[in-house]
Amino acid sequence: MKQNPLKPPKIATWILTHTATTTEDVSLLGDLEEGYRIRAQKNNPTHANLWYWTQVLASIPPFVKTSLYWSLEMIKNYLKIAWRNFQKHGVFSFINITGLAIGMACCIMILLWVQDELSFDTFHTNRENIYRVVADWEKNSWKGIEATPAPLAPAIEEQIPEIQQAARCAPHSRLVFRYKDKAFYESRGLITDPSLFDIFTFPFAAGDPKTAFKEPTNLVITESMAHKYFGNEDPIGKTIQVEGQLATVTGVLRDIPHNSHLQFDYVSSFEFIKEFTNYGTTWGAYNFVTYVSVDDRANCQEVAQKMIAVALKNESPQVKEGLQFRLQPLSEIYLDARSYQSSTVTLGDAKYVLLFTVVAFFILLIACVNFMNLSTARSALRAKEVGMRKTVGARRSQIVKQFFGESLLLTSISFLIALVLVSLFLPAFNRLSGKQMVLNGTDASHLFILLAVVLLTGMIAGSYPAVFLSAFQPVAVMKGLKESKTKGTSFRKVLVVVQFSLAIMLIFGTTVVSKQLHFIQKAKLGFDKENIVHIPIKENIGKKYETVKNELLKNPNILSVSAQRYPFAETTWRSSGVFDWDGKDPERRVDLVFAGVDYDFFETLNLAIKEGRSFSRENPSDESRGYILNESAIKEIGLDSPVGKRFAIQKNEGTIIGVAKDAHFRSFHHAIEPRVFYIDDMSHAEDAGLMLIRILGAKTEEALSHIESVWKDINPVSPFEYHFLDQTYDRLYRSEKRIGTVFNSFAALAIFISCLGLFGLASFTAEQRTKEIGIRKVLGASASKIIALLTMEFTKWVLVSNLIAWPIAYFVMKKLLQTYVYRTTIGIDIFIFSGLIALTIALLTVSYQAFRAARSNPANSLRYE
Amino acid sequence: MKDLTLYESIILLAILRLKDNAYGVTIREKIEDIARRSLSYGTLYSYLDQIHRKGYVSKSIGKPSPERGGRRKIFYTLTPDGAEALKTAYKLQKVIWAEMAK
Repeated sequence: MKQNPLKPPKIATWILTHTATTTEDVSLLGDLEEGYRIRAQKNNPTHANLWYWTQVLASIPPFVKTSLYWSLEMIKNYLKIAWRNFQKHGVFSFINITGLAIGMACCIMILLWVQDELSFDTFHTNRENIYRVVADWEKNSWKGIEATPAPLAPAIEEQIPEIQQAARCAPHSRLVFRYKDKAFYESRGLITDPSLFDIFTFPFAAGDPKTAFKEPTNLVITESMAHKYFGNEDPIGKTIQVEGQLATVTGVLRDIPHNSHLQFDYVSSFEFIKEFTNYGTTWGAYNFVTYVSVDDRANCQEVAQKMIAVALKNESPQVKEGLQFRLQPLSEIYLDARSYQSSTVTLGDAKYVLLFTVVAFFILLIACVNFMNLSTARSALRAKEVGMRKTVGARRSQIVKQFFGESLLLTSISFLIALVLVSLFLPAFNRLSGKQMVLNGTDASHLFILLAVVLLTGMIAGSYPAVFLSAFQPVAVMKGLKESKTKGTSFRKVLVVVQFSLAIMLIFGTTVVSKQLHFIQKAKLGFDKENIVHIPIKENIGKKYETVKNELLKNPNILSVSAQRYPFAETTWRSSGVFDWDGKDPERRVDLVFAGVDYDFFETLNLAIKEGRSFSRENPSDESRGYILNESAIKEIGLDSPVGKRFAIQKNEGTIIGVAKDAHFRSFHHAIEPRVFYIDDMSHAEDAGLMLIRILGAKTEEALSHIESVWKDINPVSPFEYHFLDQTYDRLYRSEKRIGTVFNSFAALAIFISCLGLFGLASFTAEQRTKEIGIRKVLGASASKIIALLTMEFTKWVLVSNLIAWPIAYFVMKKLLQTYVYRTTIGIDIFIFSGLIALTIALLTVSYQAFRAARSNPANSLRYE
Repeated sequence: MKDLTLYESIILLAILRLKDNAYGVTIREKIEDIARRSLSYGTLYSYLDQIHRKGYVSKSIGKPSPERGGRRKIFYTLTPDGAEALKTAYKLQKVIWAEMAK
């Protein structure tokens, strides 16, 4: 298409119209076109085009210069006006900035927490290709259980080409380490293959991962553990005693980063002190966690199928019965709350990460709403200014820019304060949340959080006032027409409702979380956990168990002593297919937990026997032939009147002598497991056994010193170690408690910020209605009527907020509670409680202003009319 | 009152000389013819806006013409203030040249 020779190039014209800052751009375009035509007629069009382009391009610099000059002038003016407003309305500015600063500080801290949670396991260089092998087994409701048999790792590494490395891991039990005169219990030990260090990036400070595990007695420890035992000596080649056996330190690891889901202080090979770690290593024993690294082209599904094939070839009984392996990416491990948390594995919870992100956003939104509310409430005061600016020629875009700028200015000031707040309160937040976060300006992700918070706040907080204020019609505001005001107030009400809805949701949420925490902590376990001391069955205690028991019972402050062969509150040895009873369907396999205990077990724990009787020394056959099942187990196997019926574990024939009441031996996240109790020999309980000692509550000190003296007699070398059972159980809910506290504090802050805004809004309303109140008083209204008038307005909106917040909060919290097996109910009390709290706080905030307005002398407010 | 800059006085003189026909194109041509200075339109209009703000010129709107793509011309005329400012500038020049360039 040929260009009309008499038309100048369109692009150039477009550029010119968009850069020209002169007031006479029409005339300017005319001038240029005139020149263009003259040249187009005289010479050729190309020449004219060239001329036109040169003219346009040459014109840009002077235009830009003028435009910069004038915008600078205007910015100076905007700043001046902003500053004056700021000074004139000190209280409002203070509320605005405080609210925003606190909101931003909360938001930054929560986002730092979230970022820290998401940063787990991201430091491994090969992280994209690292997977954990997990098992699904529909039959036994296994879903993503990270248990694999020991021979799996070497087999798949050899037989599946896509798998480059595979390593299995299992935690060591608590072992005593001794070097010269230093002795400590170490509970964070990992049994693993050397290939672990090829898969993961855990750098060595000294030693070589290739040769570190040459001998079975070789040991690799972390720098801080090395420092604990050897001080400043070189740890390499040193000999350390582990449960009496000698081990040589052949490598020193850099300390494991806090954001690693695997946490350990020392690593040993599989052959090391096998008798303390008697994990089954057959294809049928699922005791190990397997990590693999695959190559880039691997397809996870195919690899999983190949793993199942390998396991089938080796006749793994569980795989034959439908167990399936699958690969779980490294990035999902930490936040997978279903996984098993142990001394060597720390876990987060994706659900809380999401919840906290939402809370952070809520708080920021509440703070922004405050800001919007207070800025638009004062709009009447700024309306004249806007009218004036428009009259002398300000375009709307300029007014928008002005108010946006003002918001950004306040946001920036608040942001600086927020940074100060964060640096002040981050240590406290770290203590609350159990993290070690530092705000690091050079860290890209931190910088991103900060920038996002500032920009988001500036945009949300600034947008509405800017649009709202710039829309004023100069004629209307100059004449003092009121119509623009009513529009603002209704929107402000919406904002108050939004804000209070958010706050009520947070109150609701915290109440439910606290109630659930309270519920699981205070719920009846089924046995009495108070006044029970437990000590590990260590070294000689197992061998001389009966002596120890008798020695302990000699003290009058010790009421009862028993023992169990498994740890408290953890997953325990369970097995299926080894049990038999009268009338059992031969095809049926049940999954029961073995609970080897000593006499007096039920008496020591005050665990009730529902039917039959407890173990008794008067019946010698109890020792090998007596079984006590708990209610769940009876239900599982489906026996009617079970007492006296035959029961057998493998070849150990016996009778059910009693039925124990169900008790929560594990945390309330888990359902009560079916258990079978039997009398066990404690002399072999060294791996995880515990001695349970019920003491006299009033004489704790005396009882403990007696236990210690008995311990020292029997175990002169091992450090005395004891725990209170109630604390052991409290520790189960530590992370929940932490999250509860954090959640509570932030909800409280969110409510505080909302109240700041409400306070400002109330004082503004009171101020606006001074004259009305004056007239009312003159006409005979009582102070209480005035207070009611002012508070009713806000009460109404808080009530509406309740109606909005309740269903949403109920729905969300219901979903959250569903992740607990034992959960509290969301009763009407929570609805009423959250509503009442919000209402009370709102009333308290507003009533101060209402009271002041009601008390004022009408003569003062009406004097000037 | 601030002293005129060189370009301000050149443009003002051009407007004075062009009488009724002072608008963008003619002003620019005049300056090019006489002062041998080539101004971009951007610069020219920036100056025109500036001297207009200072009150040295007044604007009147001409008829739209086809050769300008239907756009109106803006004609500039000197105001008494503008004439005064030119005179002052001229006097200042004369004094400087008379006294300082001896």
